[in-house]
Amino acid sequence: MNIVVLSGKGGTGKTTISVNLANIAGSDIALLDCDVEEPNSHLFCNNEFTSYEDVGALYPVIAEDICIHCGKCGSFCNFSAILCTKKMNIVMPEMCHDCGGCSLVCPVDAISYETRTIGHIRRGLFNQEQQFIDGILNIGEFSSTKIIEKVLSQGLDAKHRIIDAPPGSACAAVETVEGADLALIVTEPTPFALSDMKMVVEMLENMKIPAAVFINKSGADETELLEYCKAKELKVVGRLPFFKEYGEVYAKGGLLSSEFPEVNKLFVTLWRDLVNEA
Amino acid sequence: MKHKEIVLISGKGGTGKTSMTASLIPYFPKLVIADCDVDAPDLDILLEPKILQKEDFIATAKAVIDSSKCINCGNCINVCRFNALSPGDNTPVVKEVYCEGCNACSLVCSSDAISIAPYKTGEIFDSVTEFGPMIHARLTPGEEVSGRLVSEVRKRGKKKAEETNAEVMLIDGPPGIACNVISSITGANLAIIVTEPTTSGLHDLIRVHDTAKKLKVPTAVIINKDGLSSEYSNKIVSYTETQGIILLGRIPLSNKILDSINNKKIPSINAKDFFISNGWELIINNINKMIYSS
Amino acid sequence: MIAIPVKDTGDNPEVDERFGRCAFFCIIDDKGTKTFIENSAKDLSSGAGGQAVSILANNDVDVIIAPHIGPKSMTPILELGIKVFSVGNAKTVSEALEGLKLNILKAVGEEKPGLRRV
Ligand code: SF4
Ligand code: SF4
Ligand code: SF4
Ligand code: SF4
Repeated sequence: MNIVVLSGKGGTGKTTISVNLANIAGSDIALLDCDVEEPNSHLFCNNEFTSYEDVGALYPVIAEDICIHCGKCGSFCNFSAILCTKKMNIVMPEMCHDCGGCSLVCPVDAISYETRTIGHIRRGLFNQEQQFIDGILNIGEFSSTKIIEKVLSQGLDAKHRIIDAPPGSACAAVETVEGADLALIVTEPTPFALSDMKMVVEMLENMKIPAAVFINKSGADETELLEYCKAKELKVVGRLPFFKEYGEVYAKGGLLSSEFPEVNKLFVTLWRDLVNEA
Repeated sequence: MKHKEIVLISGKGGTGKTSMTASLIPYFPKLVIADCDVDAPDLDILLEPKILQKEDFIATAKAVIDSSKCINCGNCINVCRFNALSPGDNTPVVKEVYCEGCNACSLVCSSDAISIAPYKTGEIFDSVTEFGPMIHARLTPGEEVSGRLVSEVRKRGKKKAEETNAEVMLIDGPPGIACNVISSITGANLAIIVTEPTTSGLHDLIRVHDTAKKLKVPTAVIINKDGLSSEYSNKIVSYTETQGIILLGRIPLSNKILDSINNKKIPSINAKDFFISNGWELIINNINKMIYSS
Repeated sequence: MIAIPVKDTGDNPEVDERFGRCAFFCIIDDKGTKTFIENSAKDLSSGAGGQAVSILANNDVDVIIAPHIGPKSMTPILELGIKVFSVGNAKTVSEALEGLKLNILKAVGEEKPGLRRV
């Protein structure tokens, strides 16, 4: 079963919830961090990575001896990755979106592709027994989907996978949520968080993924949030109140479910409900 | 005189950047507000702007299939490397979120049924609030934050500031450290980094500060949620000292800010005493000093 | 041929701060005659700079004077062997040309970043 943990933009504690769930979910699980632009589950996992694997993207290489300088590839490429000038062709690999179109337009088959590295994934163990995998997109690269795809291809032998999604509702989040059995939306009882969450709910509705809501930093008035959840038929499956002691543990990269018995109990119940729900 | 630009940034988000931006607003009388946080544009919740004008913003193009020409041969589906096309009853279905507008599909379509058409990235609003004009935007769900939308909001803010003879333009910056942040802080008179005393707060502070330093934008720091961890507060303070960054002030962790947000009020108005007793006026003075000395 | 990004056409147009997204390029030949080409790359959602460079290269430009050129435009510029000078304080085409003549403009991007020849 795949449970994806996601949130609107703006840090509502999505990572806290995923790592703590993984912490109590038993040995037969895999934790995947798909927030490849800012992966930070590893900060809480206290683990060492045991293996790395590069993720690549293709870019075109033009055989100058075959090229007849017709300029078709340059005018086709919508991302300006090939510039055909009178003097020469210039390929800018870091601009290429790897669409494969240029070789289709080339009349003389002068274009082939080579691979360059755009990021990597890392594998390790969390709690000595659970699989932990995350991915990192190199700075300056734009295509996180290839890295996410690679992370999502891992840990398939585990009974359950807990997947930490990128924040928001753009392409990278959609990619991560695709095919999930259940989405857990982490929010806070504030008007900001509610407004950010609405876009995520809209995305999940379009994708027809069942969803449930977890209220982090609970304690404030929830009327508006609950009304929205009711209207959207979203079940609130748990609440984590905010205490200063929790904040201190979080600040140091500690796991709340290991430090506080009441939090441990809360996550155990949540996990049981989620597994039943999905 | 040309207006001064102040932009608030934070890195990943969740540090209270928008609350701090909102709390500065009442202290700058001749103001234009620009909300560049286009994928979480939350300032409007507190300011209730009245929208004067709304405009579509187009920065991308995506595939559109003309069903009257399509013979449903499926060639396009096979060529698309982004999984943006899936089989459909009469024609393939375009999944806009995934489509990059690369045009490869139309190359292989023998029926000439595919075109790449402009696609709405978001909407830009020209509004007024009780504190002055405000430019803000909203992304189409599923769209990526585009550096161009951020630049456009800032550009219109600038124009508005010139038209209204504003003294200050206050920008709620986009999250992250990538190109969007660069488009929102380049050439600003002051970038205020809002951080919090946690491991991720410090981590992001360092990354954002590196970016600002490269762009030669004067920077200052506000520690929000002070008291969360004295260890990390100390680490942040010593980072600002070694880097020579001005530490404007420290706002304690308090329900007062949260309560204000929950009541949809500007924190520095709703919890005025709290802000004053934590040196908010001094912070404002120092900000003014910084922007008028540069 | 020298190229300068400008905001409009005319006798002595103002320099445009944006290179890839400027409105026009003012092209000055050896005799000092000015012609203008519209920057058809300016509305591209990505890669405007690179396309602008190829427009200039196809107009035989070998010197560019501009306020600021991003790294993505610098790559093809260096590859094509085009020289770049920063406008410095010059605000108009005449001032920029004057600066070039007096040899007071700063050359930019001498060192080649890692390039891939094709
Ligand atoms: S593969 Fe696509 S994006 Fe890359 S250079 Fe060729 S046409 Fe451009
Ligand atoms: S399309 Fe082929 S032949 Fe034409 S310029 Fe490109 S590589 Fe050369
Ligand atoms: S290639 Fe053209 S005709 Fe064939 S399915 Fe696609 S759009 Fe229809
Ligand atoms: S334009 Fe490119 S990404 Fe979009 S559907 Fe066609 S082939 Fe796929």
